[in-house]
Amino acid sequence: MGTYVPLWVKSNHSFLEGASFPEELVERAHALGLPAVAITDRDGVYGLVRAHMRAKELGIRVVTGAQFTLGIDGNAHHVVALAKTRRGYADLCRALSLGHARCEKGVSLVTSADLEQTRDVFFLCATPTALRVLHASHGPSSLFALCARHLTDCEKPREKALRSVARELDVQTVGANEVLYHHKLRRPLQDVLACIRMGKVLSEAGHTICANAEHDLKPTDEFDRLFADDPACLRRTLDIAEQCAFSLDDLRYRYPEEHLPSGRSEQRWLRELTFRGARARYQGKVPGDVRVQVERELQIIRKLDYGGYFLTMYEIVQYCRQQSILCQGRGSAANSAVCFCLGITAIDPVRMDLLFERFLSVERAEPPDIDLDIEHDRREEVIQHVYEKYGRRHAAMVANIIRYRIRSAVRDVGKVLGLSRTDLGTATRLLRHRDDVLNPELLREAGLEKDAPATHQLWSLASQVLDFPRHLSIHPGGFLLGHRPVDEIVPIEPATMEARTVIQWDKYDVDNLALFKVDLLGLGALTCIHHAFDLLLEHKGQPFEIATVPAEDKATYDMVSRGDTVGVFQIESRAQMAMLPRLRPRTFYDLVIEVAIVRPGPIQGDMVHPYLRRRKGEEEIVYPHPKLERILNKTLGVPIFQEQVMKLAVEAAGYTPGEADQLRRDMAAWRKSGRIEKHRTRMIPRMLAEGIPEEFAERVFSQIRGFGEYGFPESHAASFALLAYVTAWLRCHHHEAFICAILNAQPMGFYTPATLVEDAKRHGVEVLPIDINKSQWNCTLTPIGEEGQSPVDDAKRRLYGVRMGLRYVKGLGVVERERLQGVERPHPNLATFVRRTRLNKKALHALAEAGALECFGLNRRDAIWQVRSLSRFSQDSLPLEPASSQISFSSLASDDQVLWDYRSSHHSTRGHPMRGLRHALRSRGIPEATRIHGCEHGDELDYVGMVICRQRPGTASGVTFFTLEDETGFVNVVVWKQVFDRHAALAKTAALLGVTGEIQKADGVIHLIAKSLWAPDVALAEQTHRSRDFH
Amino acid sequence: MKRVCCVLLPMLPLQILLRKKPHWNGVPVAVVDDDGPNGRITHLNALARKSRLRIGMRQTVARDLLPNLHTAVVSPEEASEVSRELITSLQTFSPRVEAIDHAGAFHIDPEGLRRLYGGYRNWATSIHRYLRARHWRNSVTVGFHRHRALAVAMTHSGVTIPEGADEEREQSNKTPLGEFDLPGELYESLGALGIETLGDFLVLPAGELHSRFGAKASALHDSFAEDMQLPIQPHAFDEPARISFQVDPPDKDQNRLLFAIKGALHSLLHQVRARGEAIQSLQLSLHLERAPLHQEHIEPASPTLDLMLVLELIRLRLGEVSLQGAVEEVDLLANTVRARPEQAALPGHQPRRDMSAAHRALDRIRAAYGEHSVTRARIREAHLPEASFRWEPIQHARLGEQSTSTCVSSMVRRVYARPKALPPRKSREPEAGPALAKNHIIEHMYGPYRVSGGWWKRLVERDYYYAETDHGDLLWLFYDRPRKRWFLHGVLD
Repeated sequence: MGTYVPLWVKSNHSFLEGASFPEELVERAHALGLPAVAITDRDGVYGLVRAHMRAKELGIRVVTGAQFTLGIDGNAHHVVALAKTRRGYADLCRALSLGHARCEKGVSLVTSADLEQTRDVFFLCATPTALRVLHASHGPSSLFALCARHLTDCEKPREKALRSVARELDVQTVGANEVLYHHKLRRPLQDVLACIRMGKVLSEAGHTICANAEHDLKPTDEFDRLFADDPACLRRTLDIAEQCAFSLDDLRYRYPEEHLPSGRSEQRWLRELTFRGARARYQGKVPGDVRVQVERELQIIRKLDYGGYFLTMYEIVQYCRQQSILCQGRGSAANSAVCFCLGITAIDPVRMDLLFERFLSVERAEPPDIDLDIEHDRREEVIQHVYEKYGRRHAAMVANIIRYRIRSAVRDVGKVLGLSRTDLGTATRLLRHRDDVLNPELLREAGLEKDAPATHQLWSLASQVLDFPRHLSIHPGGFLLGHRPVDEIVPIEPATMEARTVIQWDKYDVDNLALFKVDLLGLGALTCIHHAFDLLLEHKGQPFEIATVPAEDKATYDMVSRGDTVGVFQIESRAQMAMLPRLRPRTFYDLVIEVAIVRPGPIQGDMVHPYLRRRKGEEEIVYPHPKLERILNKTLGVPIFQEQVMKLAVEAAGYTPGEADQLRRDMAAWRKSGRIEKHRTRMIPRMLAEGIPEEFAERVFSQIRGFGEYGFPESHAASFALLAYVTAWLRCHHHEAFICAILNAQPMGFYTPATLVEDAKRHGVEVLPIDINKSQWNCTLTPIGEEGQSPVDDAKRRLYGVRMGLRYVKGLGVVERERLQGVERPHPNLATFVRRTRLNKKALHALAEAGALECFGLNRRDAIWQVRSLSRFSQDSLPLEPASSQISFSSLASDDQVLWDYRSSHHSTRGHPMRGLRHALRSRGIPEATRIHGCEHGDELDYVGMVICRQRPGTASGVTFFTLEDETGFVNVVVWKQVFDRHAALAKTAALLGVTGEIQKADGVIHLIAKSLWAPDVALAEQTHRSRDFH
Repeated sequence: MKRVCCVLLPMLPLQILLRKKPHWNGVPVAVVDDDGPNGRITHLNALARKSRLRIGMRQTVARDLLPNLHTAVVSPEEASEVSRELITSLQTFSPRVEAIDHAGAFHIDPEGLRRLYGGYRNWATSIHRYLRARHWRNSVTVGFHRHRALAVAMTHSGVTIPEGADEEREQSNKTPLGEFDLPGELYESLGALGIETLGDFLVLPAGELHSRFGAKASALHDSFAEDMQLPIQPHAFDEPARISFQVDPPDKDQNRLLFAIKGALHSLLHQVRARGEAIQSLQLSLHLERAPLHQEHIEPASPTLDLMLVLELIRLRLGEVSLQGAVEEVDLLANTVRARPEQAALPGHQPRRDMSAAHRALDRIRAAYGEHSVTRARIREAHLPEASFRWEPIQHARLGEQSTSTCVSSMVRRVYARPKALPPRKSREPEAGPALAKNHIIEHMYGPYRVSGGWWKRLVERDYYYAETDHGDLLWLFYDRPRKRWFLHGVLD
């Protein structure tokens, strides 16, 4: 019996064509005893890394290649290309990049000219035309005629014609079928994928789907029988595979060499910069322990030859500094003293006792992962700088492969099966995005017949397609950089977004191949901080940087401990606010814990309450094993951070550093089924053997599983905690600058501008309405009184109010911004304003409705009537006022003014919508938020408030948390699932909600536990307010 | 002062839906503009409205809020059809009925027939009761101004008879603007000025409206001007062309019947021609003596006024049927369309084939063998041989397209309508090969060519072969894997 190597194999990374994961194909090839398998995805190498990694584990070879589309005289011909050497692979990647560059997203067309310089590649041609063209450019030695036998009736004449041309050109034949799935059972799924790709339903699929199920990975004997008449063409597959010696392991990646100062090596220059930075960080005196740590890190960096990477990050950070763009490293980079000294991160790892090995270790020998947070509205500047500095071929963004989740799977598969669009719409709404198992009961609830074959097929196929790649998207900020062109490592494609290019691998692939990548991420909090610092400098002459914000400020911690943190980065959510009075942070490290503890990992691992009890001294601090004390003492014996979990695995379960690192990867690989679970059988018995109680072992494991969803490493939490502290300090001491900055940084954070404005007003900040003669585009600080005349002299914030900016008028955009900013001010009257700005009727109406034209002595209705007429003459150059009927409309009542504000600008400076209802509510004995806070545990009462947030966390067993607001503050309402279901329509839609419930009071935290929900019978326009809902 | 009546059936599409699905009464119901999840709600019943659903909401959102919501589309054709029926009904109360540009609203001239009812109120009440008895929710206003009467009908249920124009004005001024189907932006813009009722709106200066709020606002304002009333544009009677005659004594002889029909048909065609129309189809009803009614539907290839053609089609059709009794009465009902003058063919571009003769031939075949007797094969994209074409009825003969392919197949495959099962063999595995009739031996088999699919409906897995017999026949066979059986699917010439 002979054997063969399948040379034309497409994985499911040939989007919507292949029906098996690369790993499945490799596993099947291994199980069939094949010596190697080629992976030749359509127009790329998308699935190659995953196949390569699995093949390494199994000890089977992967032949590297791709099926590319060759354009000849306007026709497309599929050709399989297999790389023999590193050079061949680079040439193939470059040709694929050229093919993609000339086409729209997702399509590639390579020309014969693109292949002229290609060497060390085997081409397998299935058509005589392609064979002739490539023969002319490459000769017969690297060319094969590809004979495919899928048992369709049109193949024989084609093969006859192909063999005839091959004989004529002296080209050898090779036998290979187009493999689209590892097993015949996947044929239905392949049909479905083909239909999705072509937008067809199965009943009308026609030739969109394959004629039969012969596109599987066949056992040797079956393939032998297929080519019994020409066994030599199968033997050739073995020869080809043997000659294709290239492996992805051969990708030696060198980081771009920086422009080093003359006479300095990379390492020496890094050392100089590091110590220069250290002296600046420590005011000229670098402490001994810091020096030791820096030396140790530099030694490891030199050993691993990663100096260039740090220099490049330093260069990007320097660019940000020069351009006055705030940035800060996050993630494990904060464990590095070198990063701290270079200014890449802001956390001192020596002072924080952070573990450098989490970032970089000789044993792991992996490139470091530095994520750089950048002001979100200026991130594009930095991205374009990287492109400019390194060149388009040397820099490309990492892909984000969009995969089927439960909703998209049901929607796409259902469409192909021809199911009712309405039923599918209902089904997808019932499913939760995070679900990773498709419950057939949900399909029944959606109105699909439970026992109908189509329902069964939907369930089965949608379950199979879960996690399948659907299309390529772009990673938010991951860059692959190289001193050699990136397109020699992986093909580059144009992205949908203008001026962006993207590689064909995602971050996991890049990690798996140990390639360098830079993450440039946008962060609204940095924008907010930058704006606030600018305002303080401009108006108060106080220069601040993140590093110079006064540390460990008592007033700031007092405010935070009260849970008074609306707008404060990371600790402003309902859950964080509820935790703060319990944890009562008094130090920066408390904030680090606060940031990390309100996460699914610690919550699901039931780590929160033990930590709080121990912190309050209600529970003894015990360690399940003496050797865990060193790991857990910072967090009172309770594991909270990712590093602690890793260390636990090493210390308590005997994991090797390699295994611990695999654990970290598996935790990071979000929702890859089974990857975390396999650690359970390994870890728990080992922990029990070490004498650790089973209950603790189970708890640690459930936390690990939780980290699979979201979990913070300590260094990352510290980086975020720093920003949390800075924003909290700004809010505590310069609330007017803080609110102005955060309003200008929108959209960001947890709350709507309306809530931010109301909160500022409650804290004594004067917020002034939009005024066409006084407002800038952005919100501004404006003096509201002379120092000394202020009621509170020492409260400098009272000297400034916040003038709302024109950006908040609904309906104004870029064009209006330019026109408004490009004219002189003030405008003496409405007609002059209209003529100067030449705004259209819609924009003028929006301004009038928002009250921005009241400065001309017109009420809003009169202004609307006037601008609707004046807008006709906005293009006239002569200042003529048209004659029109003088009609006077009634002014708005004060309550209506507030409603109009909300409708036209999503906020109101004039009052809270609830204020107008207060009298009616008070007469019915319904209290405001401040009075709720004075209630006793167990009190039963009614409350009415505006819904500003609905949240149903995955960790809360169906409980929905509502945050209601009135003119005095917030009330947190807990709605159990049965109560929510009973009032579902109201609960989902009401802007104004009545709640009957019972007060629950613990540790100064108050919740109203809803017993019933109701619609208050008081008039309030529903469009006044939009809540932020997170499900 | 002359009166005008307005009959309003509010939310007509919703009423149509509930009449079609009476079991939906008592449950939340919405009319949507599209059956898909993104279809938007256009009308809601009270229960759905109570559950916080709103007009304009997407169907998928509404169903999420209210899982037991019942939705359906009411097509414009359905609404038009109902509207026509309603006009016909209302024409029994007055010959002058006009459907106006507001769904479910009709203007009726009350003069003339109202005296038969003893006054406006009785007349209006009769209309109201007539419609209500047929389960149409409605309001009837007999006022003085066409549009003001409509405005009153929008807010007053039952019958309303204002005493004078002032009372009508007062009542109509209170009508909310939201009732008038104004474009959303216009409605919102007016709302912003605090203009919420018709009265508020009519106070605005007419000359300023067009520039500020556009033509729609201006037109609405103008329509309420006292001096801008247009007279009712009554709807024409919409009766089909029809003729019937008695056969006395009853007769079964087809020749005599045809002769009688010819005379009636002549009159009918005259009637149709006078309308400027042509016969698209003809309903022939024969009332038989002591036997049930016999009906035939005759449809020429294209609308016609050709007496002999129609008569020939009737002759052919009657020649194929045997009547169960003597004919007592003949009724001819013509379905007509507007006639179009035949275009003269350009000289030199006449097709060589006489297509009109082909049409006549096909008409005769259809008349003789039924409406679906003339079909053509349409090629479809499919892997399964029998699914790769479909027989579909055609009305008109078409000139065949000249094939551009120079490749001529050397063999013709004749495919059986249903594959013929071959005799089973002891071994049912494919290797055993097919069993043919006696004295036929397969000498060579070519294949297999595998076709499989249809798993979503009924799994098909076939291995096709070409088989050459010792008699020189070329057979087209397949082995059906699920059924483990050989079939003959065709032969090759």
